[in-house]
Amino acid sequence: MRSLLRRGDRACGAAADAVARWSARLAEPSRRAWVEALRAELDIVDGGPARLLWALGGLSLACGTRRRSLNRSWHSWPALLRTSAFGLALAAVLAVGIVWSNVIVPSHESDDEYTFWYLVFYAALLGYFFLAGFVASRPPNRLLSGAWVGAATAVLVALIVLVTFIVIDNLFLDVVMQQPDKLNGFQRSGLTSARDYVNQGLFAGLVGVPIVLGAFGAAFGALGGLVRERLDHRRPAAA
Amino acid sequence: MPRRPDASPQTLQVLAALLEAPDAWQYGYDLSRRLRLPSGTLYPILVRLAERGCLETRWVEPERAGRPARHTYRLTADGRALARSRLAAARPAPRLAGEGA
Repeated sequence: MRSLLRRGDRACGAAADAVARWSARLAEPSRRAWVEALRAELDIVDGGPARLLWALGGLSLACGTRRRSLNRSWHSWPALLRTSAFGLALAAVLAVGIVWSNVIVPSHESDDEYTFWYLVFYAALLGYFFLAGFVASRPPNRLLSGAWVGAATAVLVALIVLVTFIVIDNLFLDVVMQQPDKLNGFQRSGLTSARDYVNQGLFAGLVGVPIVLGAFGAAFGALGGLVRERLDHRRPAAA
Repeated sequence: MPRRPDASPQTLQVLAALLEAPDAWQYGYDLSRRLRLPSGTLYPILVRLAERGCLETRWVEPERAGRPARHTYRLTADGRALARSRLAAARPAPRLAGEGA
């Protein structure tokens, strides 16, 4: 037991040295001397776990400046890009996922089998709108700018996802029409052309979905902006 | 309402500790132990105070060979003035007779 504790203590000490070294490397030049100062004290700190905790403080000091400079550069982005960055990033990921799951490795299972995961996805989407509002909203009115960012994110995601579906459904109609949900829907629609069937739904969605999703995006983005505003007020100006 | 700079409870603790022995150079780890502040809280405060010219810093050669030089701190004249004003402002106002019965 005692040897196990000793081993754990030594492992913590080694981890502390590694963290302190890495923090010094990570720190911006203006903070490096401070991280080195903190690292120099490590020699005095007693016990592996205490050394590790001390070293983690150095990491937070190093990361704090990195985070601030990242934040500064983010806020220097043009407003249009900053507002649409979250939407473009998610839409790009979703577009790749859609091409992958519909064309490259097409699934032949019904959507009903994934109901739970769809719910998880929608919840994550709302969380993403919240995050967009939290990060990209700007003072003095974070509530309003959060709503704008959330709405822009949602509308961009909806439009790019729908356009991706329109493109792949028309280019790879024979592949996507093997999906059981599409086949059943087509048979029930009474239409004679599969292309007309997929386009009818998608073009109708192009009008309605961005509006509905945009409203959700605005609401959750505004909530993100509001939470950020509250946190900013609670945080002291310095120290 | 935004708070005054250098008026957080932790900063006041640091200022008070440094003001206790204004001429003495103090080590970061000693301050951390005395004030029970983790390094991740203490050092950002020291950095900010130094950047405002309220804190002097100095590297001290180790007492034993093979150990690294250590960083030490003490308040500048501006720092002492700031510490006194912040600590005085933080002290609760004395109650008037008959108040709060």
